[in-house]
Amino acid sequence: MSALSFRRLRWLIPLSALPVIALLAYGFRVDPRAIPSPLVDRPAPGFTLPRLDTGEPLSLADLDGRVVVVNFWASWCYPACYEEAPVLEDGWRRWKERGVAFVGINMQDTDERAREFMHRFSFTFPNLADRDGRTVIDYGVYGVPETFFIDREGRVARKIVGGVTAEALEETLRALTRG
Amino acid sequence: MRSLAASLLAVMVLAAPAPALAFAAEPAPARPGSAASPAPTEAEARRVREISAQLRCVVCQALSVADSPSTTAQQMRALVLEQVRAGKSDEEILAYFVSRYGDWVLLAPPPRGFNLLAWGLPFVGIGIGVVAVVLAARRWVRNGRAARASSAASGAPSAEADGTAPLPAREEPGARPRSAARDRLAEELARLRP
Repeated sequence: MSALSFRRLRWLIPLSALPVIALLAYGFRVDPRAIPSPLVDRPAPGFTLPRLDTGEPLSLADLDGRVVVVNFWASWCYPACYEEAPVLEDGWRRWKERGVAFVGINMQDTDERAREFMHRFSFTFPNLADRDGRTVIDYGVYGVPETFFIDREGRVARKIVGGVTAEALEETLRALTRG
Repeated sequence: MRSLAASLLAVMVLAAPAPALAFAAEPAPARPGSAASPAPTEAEARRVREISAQLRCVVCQALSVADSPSTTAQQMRALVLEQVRAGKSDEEILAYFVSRYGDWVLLAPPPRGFNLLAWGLPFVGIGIGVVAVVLAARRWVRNGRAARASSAASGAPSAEADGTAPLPAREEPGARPRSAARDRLAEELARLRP
């Protein structure tokens, strides 16, 4: 290649920045926390776990035919779990007569601290202890809090990463209980 | 300009092998996993290590499940051990984790679709780099020869002769008038030389 033709091609050099700019433009637009769950629209993994209050086992299968809100939480998850706890208890009280079940699953915690947390927020819906993390991994949970909405057919309809707001809870449950 | 292109190349090559963004979650208090099952044999432990080294620790920054001390990783290793004992193949165990967390959980993205970019770009980058280096080297050799030829023709003190090479002769002879500053520098350097 002669020097002349090299110079003629020089205008191409800035073009090499294009892929980098494209990659950055893509990277800064996507929310790194919005990792899609492969479980959405698939059957919810079953579980049988002991209740923290009574020690009795509760299965997802026991709640068959109902819309189920499954919330993963921990007492060390501050502030997000502390912010959403009243929203969940309030939602449970308003929706329990309308065919919606709420289940809390406590993870990577001590039973004692978990019970303190339940007492602090006057939880009346069942909360279970996942001591070996099997259900946590079955649901592909990254961190707490995460909330799964299971429809009447037992499929995962929606997953919310981070604290649940009253608006998101209302909107999702209204959509799932319609019809 | 050339250094700009070179640094862009470097950025592309460095960025390519990191296709997924790291993700941080809440730290977990360390706690030993469930110790209900008997200790793994050496062969079992090796397989657990091999499989969990391919899995991304979901609560860490750029750590595998094999390397992370977090509770989540411990529980994942316990689950891998359980599936190893149940006679599952490596592929089946990895597929279980993918079905829960998506391809994201694999440290090496499967080479298909968009992911091929991550596998191919480093080699494309290296290829472009090699071509650029060859072209640049040929140019330097040619310019060096031209400079020697011109200094020999003009009878000026030869830079190459005493091996000090004070000035790189970038321009081809007669292509452009040499700048006054460069001429003066050359003169002064020549004066310093015995």
